[in-house]
Amino acid sequence: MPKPLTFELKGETQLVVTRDFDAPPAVVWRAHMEPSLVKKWQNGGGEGWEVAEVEIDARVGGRYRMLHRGPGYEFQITGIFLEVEAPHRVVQEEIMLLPDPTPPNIVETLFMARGEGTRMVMTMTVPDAEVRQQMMDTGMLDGMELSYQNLDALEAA
Amino acid sequence: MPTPDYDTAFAALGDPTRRAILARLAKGEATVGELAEPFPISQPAISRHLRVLEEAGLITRRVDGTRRPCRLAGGTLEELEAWLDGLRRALTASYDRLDAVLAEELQKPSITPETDLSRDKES
Repeated sequence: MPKPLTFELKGETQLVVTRDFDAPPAVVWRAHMEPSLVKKWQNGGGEGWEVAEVEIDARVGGRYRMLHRGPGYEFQITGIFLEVEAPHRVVQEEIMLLPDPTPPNIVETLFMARGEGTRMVMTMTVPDAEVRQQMMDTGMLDGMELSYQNLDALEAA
Repeated sequence: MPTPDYDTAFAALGDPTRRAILARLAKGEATVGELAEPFPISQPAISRHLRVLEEAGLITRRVDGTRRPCRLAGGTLEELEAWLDGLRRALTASYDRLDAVLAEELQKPSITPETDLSRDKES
């Protein structure tokens, strides 16, 4: 059974996402930092979307880049690592190319050991109205039915 | 009719009293007095919250004799909710896929740093 995602507005401009995983922080960390693993799960929108290119240099000052490609459209998520404390904490400055660059968003992610598993707490700044509209328009927030089918396929494999 | 300011709208939504006021207005138009009733705070305090909501484009007020009833403004709140809902669903789907990736990784025999490096290479 998929675990619930907690999703809450904090203060006036921040969004906090909390999710538990049945794997220790070291494994959850690798799934976020190794391109071959990231490709398997990062959301690429709905039908026909894929994460076509992933580059991650997970050290302070290192950069990362994810190219999402869909039918007739692609967008990139890029950024720089500001703080890296493997496997428990990472702070990234993220810019989306939709295709114009969005204002940078500081994202802090914590991976805390909880029993045999991990609690992830990700804090980001809510983007402005224009960026939100672009995110809606790109389709990057669509296509959930297909994503659930992908999940079933992965589990059956 | 001012252009809705979506960021002011997010700030306006950060307050529980204002969220409760919006929930009440979702049921229909109401006056300041009616809105103040369920809250243990003064009517002027409610009026201040209403001013914030109005400036954020979340509510509108009309003049009806001496009354100035409030109602939800169409559009702004829906846009915010649609965006939050879209992001929530996108992240939910991603992390559900991540569960499957993690389960796969835990099945594998312990991984040495060497294999780790080779797995990092992208074509």
